[in-house]
Amino acid sequence: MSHAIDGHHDGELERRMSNETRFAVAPDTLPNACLAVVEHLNARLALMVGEDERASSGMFRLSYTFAVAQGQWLTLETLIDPAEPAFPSVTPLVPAAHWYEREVQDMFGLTAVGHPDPRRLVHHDDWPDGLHPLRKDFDPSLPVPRVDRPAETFHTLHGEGFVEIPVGPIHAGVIEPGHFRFAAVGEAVFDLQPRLFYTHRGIEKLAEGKTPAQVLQLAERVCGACSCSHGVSYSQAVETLAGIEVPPRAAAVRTLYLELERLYNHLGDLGNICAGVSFAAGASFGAQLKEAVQRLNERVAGNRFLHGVNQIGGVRRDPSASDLHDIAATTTHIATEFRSFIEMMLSSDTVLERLKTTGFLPAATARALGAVGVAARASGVDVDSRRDHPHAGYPALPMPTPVVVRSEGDVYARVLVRSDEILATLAMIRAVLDTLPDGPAAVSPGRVPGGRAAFAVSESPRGENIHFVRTAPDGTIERYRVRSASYPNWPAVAACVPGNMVPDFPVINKSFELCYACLDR
Amino acid sequence: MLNIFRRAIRTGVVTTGYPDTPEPAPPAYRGQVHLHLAACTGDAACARVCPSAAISVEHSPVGGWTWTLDDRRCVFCGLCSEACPTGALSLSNEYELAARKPEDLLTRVTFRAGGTAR
Amino acid sequence: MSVPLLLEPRTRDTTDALAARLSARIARLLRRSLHIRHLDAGSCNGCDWEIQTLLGPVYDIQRLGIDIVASPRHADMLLVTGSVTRNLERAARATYEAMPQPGLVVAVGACACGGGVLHGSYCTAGGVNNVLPVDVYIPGCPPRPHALLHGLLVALDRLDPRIAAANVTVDVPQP
Repeated sequence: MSHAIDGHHDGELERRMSNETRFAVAPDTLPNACLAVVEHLNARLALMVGEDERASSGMFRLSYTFAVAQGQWLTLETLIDPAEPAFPSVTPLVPAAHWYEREVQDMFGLTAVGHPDPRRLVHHDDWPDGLHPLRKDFDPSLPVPRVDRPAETFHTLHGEGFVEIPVGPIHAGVIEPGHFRFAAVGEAVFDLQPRLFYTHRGIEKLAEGKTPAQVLQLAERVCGACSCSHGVSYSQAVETLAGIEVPPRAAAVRTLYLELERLYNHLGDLGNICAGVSFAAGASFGAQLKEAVQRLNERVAGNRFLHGVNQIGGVRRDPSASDLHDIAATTTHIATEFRSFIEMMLSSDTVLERLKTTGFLPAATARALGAVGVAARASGVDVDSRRDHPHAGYPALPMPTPVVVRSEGDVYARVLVRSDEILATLAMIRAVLDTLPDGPAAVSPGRVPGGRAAFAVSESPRGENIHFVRTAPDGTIERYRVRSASYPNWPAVAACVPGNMVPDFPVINKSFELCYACLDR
Repeated sequence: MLNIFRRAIRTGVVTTGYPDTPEPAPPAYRGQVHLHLAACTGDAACARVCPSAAISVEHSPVGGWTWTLDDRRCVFCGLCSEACPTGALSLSNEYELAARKPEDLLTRVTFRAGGTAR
Repeated sequence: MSVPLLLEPRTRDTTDALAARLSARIARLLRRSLHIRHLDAGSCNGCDWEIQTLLGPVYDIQRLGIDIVASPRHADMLLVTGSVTRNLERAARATYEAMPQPGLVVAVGACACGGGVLHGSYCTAGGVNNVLPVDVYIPGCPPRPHALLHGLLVALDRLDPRIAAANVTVDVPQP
């Protein structure tokens, strides 16, 4: 490991987590050090966190975290002098860093020198220059004026036959807001530029100064549809920095809820893909199955989206014997219904015609962008944090996590990955029910120690959700960073749409099923 | 095609009869917060844990306190009921909370000091 | 078809009472047929999924004469989720202005009704009523589909609200 970044590092730092190795590097050696990690260790950039430590160390800190091997992380950290708020961009060497660095420019005012696309990301055009919300001296209670700045959001294409189609941010369907600028020649899309971060709610800033328990409520509401996964990632991060281990029953119940979340999302997604290709019968059956799981969620956990199932130290909703019986009966029924649903969907030639070869994402692009989840696995990238970074009750299950990987990379492959994962999920739910240990469902976290940092991961229906938490000396939250699965995957959508027809965009978008809310935060 | 029809017929009607047929939420559902007046001691643990500042407790200089719940903000997390040392709060399964005026979503309970009965 | 907008003799009214009468009138006019435009003003996606669910086979709002349309220009009601983020405020206002008047605005979920967990953020308006005039509030995080149906029917005057402002006074012994 030290060989890989030999000559670049200034020294190994003290570990903050047992599965993370940290090195300090000087800003000017950062890009090459990151490249060395990616190339020599076959690593994937998983997280980049900016921090304003001017009050303590007098510097800004940037940490680039890579997933290196089974269960291991490697973090390269560098300190930036506020007198010269700039750093050499890693993006030309490691493309996956592109959005992280643009976000750090917006939120901390640190310039990524040499970034190939240094436009704003989180802030829209009317945000004033020189105002950076995640700097500690930014006062969130003051109103931020809207200013008249030149628009920098889009590049325009010129040429005979080019038509520009602007879509959104308010769409025709019941979906989240985002703006898409298509450049089309006839029906064929030549270029797609998304404008996102419309639903930016300032959750990371809002978390600062709150207690760890209060921030859990924010974490669960980063995204409505993967609320449980966000809650698990956040709780695990706090548990790691507090050095507590959840009881075996709590870990198993978390797995149960995570898999129920995957089940209702995947069923709904397959139904929505049917809707995207106007296959109404499939859309209806998908919606029915999703509803059946959401009603189960409500009976067991009190909320259709599994809000409020986690707490720091375990789970708040320990299912009773009758709940477990209900889960077993309902999922058995769903298993039967699902087989007939997927058979119906995949035996329709008109459906297959629309799905096959549509929205092709090459494996090399998926790797370069650090894609995760279903989107990555359908393009031949073998990642699944349930296996790669064991969490919750997955390691204790009698079966290894079945990771479904396909090589086609099109909408059809993403359908098949979801369909196989639903079968695997049903098997895992049964395995949890068969092996659920007795005992307490939570331990008291006590006082969460101050001045520590940790991050943790869980696999949501969309892929890996990483939450980074640093506590202030008084045990409140000093810095909170959410990197949802949608974050590395959104650029992949934009990359795979050109070459398809305009009317295929909705189904391509649905096959990725990314969330705007958990991207924008 | 025939399979699709067959399946649709086998499935039958799945549509709910609500609102003509009432459909209560399941017992585990976390709906509107209810305050049990006799148990409230005004210690404001609920207001301190509330993640959305939906609950407030104000103490009067002449004794007594006012407990206020704003259902517009409540996120139905249930932290208040877990924090209350006297078990004065519980989450009902009441979900039909739509209102035309914001003040209809306010519940204000004044605990007036000096009385004898509770 | 022509419908007189004000059937009752106009009296000297305060603006508020006039507005209340007008929205009661809208409700009466639209009671059996309502076209909705959904407007996500910065939600977490939870409320939006529940609205989507209303269109599915289980809740099927079309049976109640209610449908979701593609453009605010075709709509009688905006169903707004989210607390209105800074980056969506202009779009939200433009959507409202594109809706023909008279029209209703319904706030769905804790964020839209009063800011929810996001109160105090530097980039949200803390609730739809700080940006648009709200006719009906549907609390919940998110409101379950039944609660949405109830709220929509309240907005149309087909069901009565079940809750009202509560002011209770309890005597406690002097400490």
